[in-house]
Amino acid sequence: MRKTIDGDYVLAAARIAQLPLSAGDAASVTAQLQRVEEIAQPMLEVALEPNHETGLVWRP
Amino acid sequence: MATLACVTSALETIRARNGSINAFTAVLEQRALRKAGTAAGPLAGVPFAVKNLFDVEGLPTLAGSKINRDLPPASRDATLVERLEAAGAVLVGTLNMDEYAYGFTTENTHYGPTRNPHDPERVAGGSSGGSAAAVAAGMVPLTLASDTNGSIRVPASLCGVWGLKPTFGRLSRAGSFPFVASLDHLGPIAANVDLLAAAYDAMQGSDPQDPVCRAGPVEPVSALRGIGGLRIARAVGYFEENAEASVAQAVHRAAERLGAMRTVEIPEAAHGRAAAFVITASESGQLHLQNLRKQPQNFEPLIVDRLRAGALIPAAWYLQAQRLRRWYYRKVMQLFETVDVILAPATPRPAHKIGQETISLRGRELPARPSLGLLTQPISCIGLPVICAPVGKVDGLPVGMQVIAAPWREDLCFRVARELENQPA
Repeated sequence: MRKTIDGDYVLAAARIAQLPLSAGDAASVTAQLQRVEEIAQPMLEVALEPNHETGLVWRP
Repeated sequence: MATLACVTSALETIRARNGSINAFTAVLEQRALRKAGTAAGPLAGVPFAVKNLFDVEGLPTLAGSKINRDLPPASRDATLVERLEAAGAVLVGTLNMDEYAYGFTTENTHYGPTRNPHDPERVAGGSSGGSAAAVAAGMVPLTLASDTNGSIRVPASLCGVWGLKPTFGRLSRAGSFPFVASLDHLGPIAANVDLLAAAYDAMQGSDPQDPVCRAGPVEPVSALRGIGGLRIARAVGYFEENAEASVAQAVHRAAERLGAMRTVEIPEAAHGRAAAFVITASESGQLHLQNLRKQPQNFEPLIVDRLRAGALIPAAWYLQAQRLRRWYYRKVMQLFETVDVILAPATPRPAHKIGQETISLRGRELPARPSLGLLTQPISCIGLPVICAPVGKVDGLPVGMQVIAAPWREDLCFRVARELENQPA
């Protein structure tokens, strides 16, 4: 299973999101995000058709 | 006078029992006594309480947080509170929950844990732990709660009470503090099916204040009886693999009492759960991003890093999860061409101890707090209606069963629930 999340990603993404993280916070957040990735990875590999639209409700 | 007596009795029970259970975060005695004098309707005199993410006029909507204490008080009640009171029910208080509904145990650092009335050393489930524990402890017979990933069904299961998560869009969410807009549902928890049905009937109806709420007819369920002709099946595969054998056996016995001998496999349930997990993390992290930047120290320590991680999820993951819901929904709807109602365990196991970090499940050691939703997330991910029904005890503690139907078929869930109530374990 391919894993892409590491401390470098978290620090870069946090900088873009303007989310201050201490070194300790970054380690914990990295662990949390790696857990999300572990659960998500098989789902991310499902090949979807163009007509599998998003489930968001948008009723202008 | 009978109405006033019911409310007075509930207030006395709350005074006597809440200290040991910690279900209530506010008791609205003056308001309740004032309204009890004029209450009339099908729910006349029924005392009820609401998870503290519902707006209640005059109170800040805490949503289990410390941060929200500084919000201005709500200027009016949530739509569902107004509808229950219009039917004669009387609001007596607000209830504890996991902060911002992000949890399955109601271990709230700011307000203390809600304790399971069946064993105060154990969790009540969450995030609507106060809502389930208040009913299980006999403090009120009816509460309102929310369910994004299982937050009605998990505590209902662990506390041994009845809970309804309706179809996504069935009941108005106006006047509630959101968690994950794509997945949030509101619904009742009750001591019996009669009350669950009466409350549900009273709360149905469109609401222009909630763009998700369906503009369709009210479809009452209170008079429905009988399961003749229903095709009922028990879910195996994912739903047995992620439940302790004793819990799966309790569901199997309940299915046998209903004469449901068929088994089915809900296709791609693990993918559905994963999609719900990603959507939840991403939307909740983004919702709280401003406060995560400004005052992270004021968040619940148990969830702050989950929220931060969610705020950093790549957009491609989130959109894949949203699109996968449609793919998964189509597969499940094919299954509903051959079956009307599906039965499945609601929680992997009965309640664990407060403070316990991991649970053991069929030889796997899993983090306790997120894993209690393993069996509920695949169902709410696509908005199916579910009743959580108590189906007996395992090791002296209650466990519940999900009674699942196709979208907008709450009527089928209620017919099966009544049958289960008439044939207790």
